[in-house]
Amino acid sequence: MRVLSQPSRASTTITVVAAALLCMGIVMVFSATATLGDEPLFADPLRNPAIRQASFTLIAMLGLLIGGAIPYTFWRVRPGSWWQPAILLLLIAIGFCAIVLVPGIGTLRNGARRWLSIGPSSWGLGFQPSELAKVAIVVFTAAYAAHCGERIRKFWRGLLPGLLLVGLVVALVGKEDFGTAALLGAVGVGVLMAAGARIWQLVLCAAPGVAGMVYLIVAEPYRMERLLAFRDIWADPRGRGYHQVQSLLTIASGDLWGVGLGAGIQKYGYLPEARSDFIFAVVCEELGLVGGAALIALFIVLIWQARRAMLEAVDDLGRLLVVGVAATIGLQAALNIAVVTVSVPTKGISLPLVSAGGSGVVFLATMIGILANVARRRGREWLPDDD
Amino acid sequence: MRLRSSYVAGQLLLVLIITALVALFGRLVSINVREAPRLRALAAEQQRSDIPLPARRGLIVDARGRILAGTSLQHSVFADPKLIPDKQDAASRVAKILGLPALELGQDLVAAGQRRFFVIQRGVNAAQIEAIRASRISGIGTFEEPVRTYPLGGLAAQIVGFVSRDGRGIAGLEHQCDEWLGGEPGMKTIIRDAARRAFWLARDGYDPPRDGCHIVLTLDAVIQSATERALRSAVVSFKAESGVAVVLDPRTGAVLAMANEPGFDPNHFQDYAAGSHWRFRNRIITDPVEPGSTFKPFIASYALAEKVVRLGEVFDCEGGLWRDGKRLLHDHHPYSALTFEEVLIKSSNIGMAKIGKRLGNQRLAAALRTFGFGEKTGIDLDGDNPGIVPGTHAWTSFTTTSIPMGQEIAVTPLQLARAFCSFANGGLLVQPHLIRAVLAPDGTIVEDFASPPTRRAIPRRAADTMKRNILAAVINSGTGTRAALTRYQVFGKTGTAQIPKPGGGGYIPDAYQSSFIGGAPLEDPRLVVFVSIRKPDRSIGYYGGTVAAPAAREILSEALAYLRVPPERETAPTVTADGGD
Repeated sequence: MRVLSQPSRASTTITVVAAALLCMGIVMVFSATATLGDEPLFADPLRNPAIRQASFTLIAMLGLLIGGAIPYTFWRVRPGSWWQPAILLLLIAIGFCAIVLVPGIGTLRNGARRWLSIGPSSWGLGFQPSELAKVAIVVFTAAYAAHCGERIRKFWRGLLPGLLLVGLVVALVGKEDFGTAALLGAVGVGVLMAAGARIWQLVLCAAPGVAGMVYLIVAEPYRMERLLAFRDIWADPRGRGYHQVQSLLTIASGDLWGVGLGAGIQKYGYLPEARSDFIFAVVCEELGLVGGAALIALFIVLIWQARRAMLEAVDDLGRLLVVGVAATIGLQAALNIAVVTVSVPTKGISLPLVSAGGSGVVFLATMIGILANVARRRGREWLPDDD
Repeated sequence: MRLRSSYVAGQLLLVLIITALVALFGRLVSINVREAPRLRALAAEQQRSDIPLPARRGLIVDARGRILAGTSLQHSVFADPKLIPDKQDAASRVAKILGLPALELGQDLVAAGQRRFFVIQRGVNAAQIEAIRASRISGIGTFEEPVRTYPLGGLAAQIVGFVSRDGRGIAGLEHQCDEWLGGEPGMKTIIRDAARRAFWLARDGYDPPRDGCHIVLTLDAVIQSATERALRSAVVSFKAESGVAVVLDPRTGAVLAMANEPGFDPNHFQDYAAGSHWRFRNRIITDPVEPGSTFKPFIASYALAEKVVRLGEVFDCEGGLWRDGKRLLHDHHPYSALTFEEVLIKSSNIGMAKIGKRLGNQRLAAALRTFGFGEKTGIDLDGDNPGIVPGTHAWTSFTTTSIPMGQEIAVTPLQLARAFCSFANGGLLVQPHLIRAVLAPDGTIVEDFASPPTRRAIPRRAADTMKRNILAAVINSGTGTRAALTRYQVFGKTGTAQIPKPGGGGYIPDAYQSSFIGGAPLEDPRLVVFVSIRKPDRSIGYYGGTVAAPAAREILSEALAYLRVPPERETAPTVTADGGD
């Protein structure tokens, strides 16, 4: 156990960067929500997406603090005890992910059943189990792999049980949300890899996973369509390619310095999903290449700080939690920006902490709280107390 | 239990993510640099709309600022048939307000189908517009558009002209001064949302229209009106085919009135049949005619100036019948001996023929040149006709005796009036002009057309002698008595020309061009008037002194009073002779 002479500021940096991203999210969602008078900002504040986003961000900040306040060892596997928070969380997530698929319980939005409504439908409140699944996967794989230790290199007794649970969550989420499922799978595998699992075993197990993904693509016509549209968005710029074409137009409109905060035009009905999945394009239009670069830089800083926290973590649980959280945030950001810049086919992936969406910001902020907690405990003499 | 490999795998994953993010930044730069021109053009295409802003057309005003041509806003009602849920219902409600047949309108709306703009009626009054707006029928709207109006109706219509429906000048000054009047349309660029709703002006998206300039004429609407009235009355009472009248200021050549009868109403120019489009023409400058006796003073004054005749010199008028070579000349009244002055006062053809022979062809041609016949007057109007004056090489033995009595040549009414100004202003040939100035929309002067230069036609003495000794006597004791005014001394000359057959070869029987040219007052003349009536009914009258002189008198009387020209006397002159040519 190393003891550093000086405590690092990585934890503070991570918290500040996360808060900055959340604030940027509020500002940009407010901007992207601007309409031409048919939805006045304060006419029905509870239903206004921008005000809701601001409220959720407050909750997310709370999540950030709570996540950071709970010692990360809380999530460790306690041998011989029924009290297993990590496994419990995963089971809850699996339960929600299963329930949401039941017609009549899960709410259809944009043709996908990804939502659980909370309260009367008039509130318009809901939560996305797949967002909870992100936390659950990270916490579970990290706790499980840390508990296994060297055993993770064994296939039957080490890797497989963990991988199967990850696969179950991926399958449940993938039924309705391919992008998030792929992300969950990648993060789960990434954590297991970082824990020391043998690569060849993972590759072997990935084969059926890839087969499953191909099946999912072929089974849902719209996914095929997205893939086809990606090949040449200009073949049908008003139809299949519309979304991507509009995203590119939005980005290019910004030039170096942008048209100015709030002055974007593409959000007025041209760019679909402007405040959620395509908020990055709005940032590029209004704040320009500079704004887009700044946003990317914030994510890079976050991950770089996570890397430091990983290197300096005092135990495997902390290290794996860091890898899991950083991979989730980083991969999601990269995927989202890749989609928005039409570098990969369209997927329903939001920009972490910035895109509108209550569940997303709350759970992701909580994850960053855990990350910050690991970073804070780094380098200190710390012994788990046995309860 | 810490493993090196796990560090490597974890680091690898995070570094990979950072690399991906950096690569995506590169992609962002590529979009903004390599693909940007095309993408920005597409963005602009879908977001921006250019809306032309029409410039307000300038006014045409008379010398005192009275509006001859102006622009007003016309209210109209249109339908967006696509937005009308029940076309029959909408049709019946709109029809009720506008007083249109509901059934037909309903059919029109159904026929318009998916069109987004269908004009139901143009030129709707304010009350109806209010009612349409208040009714709030879905898919029915109102719009305004500028429409050219001529508040004085047909006044000076041939000079002012008219514009096409899209606002371009297509006749008269409207056409000729289109560039000045039209201005330059502006443009506004608006930003639209995806539903095509306009919401704001693009940055630098407003290029204001530059309104057209106003044209100020020398023409005076009051004199024009008096002239048109007198002319119309003459044409009507003598059942004539048509007539023209022009009023000039002999000191400057400024056109005060130009009347063509029958005229037209430029507000409804479309309503005239194709065969009557000659009405649109300003015949005063476009249609040369044989001048007849009104032409005699020019040749006579030139002879006087050249000293080939003397005042009081007696000419043998051969008892009204004279054979010159193969030609047989005759006078309306037989005269034996007439002085030079009397040849003009009595308008003897034989006397004039003898003066012409005395001048000879070269000096006759010079006389025509010095008074500007055969050349354009230089008036600032399109269609300035130079008239028909054959070169001396084409002259026959008849020409020498024809020209002095106004035959074998054709001159425009304006040429004649302009030449006559020389007698009024002491021998100067003025250049007629109509456009006084061009004003910017704010009233500042853009172009100031001061009176164009004059040139000397004949010596002052010859001009004054002509005016005092001969032309005044024509009014007081000759053929022009019906042009006489009580308070002013008029001077002038009548003319009764036969109208040549269009293909040549003689004259149309019983077809006359009855004219009078004159000016007043005698001292410092202010006005020159030319009136010419085409094809009056012979049974009513056809002498210029009978048909045209009273109209000229009417014009002079009204215009002199209007101009507050001090009267020369208080009592009527003694009239001794009756009218005649």
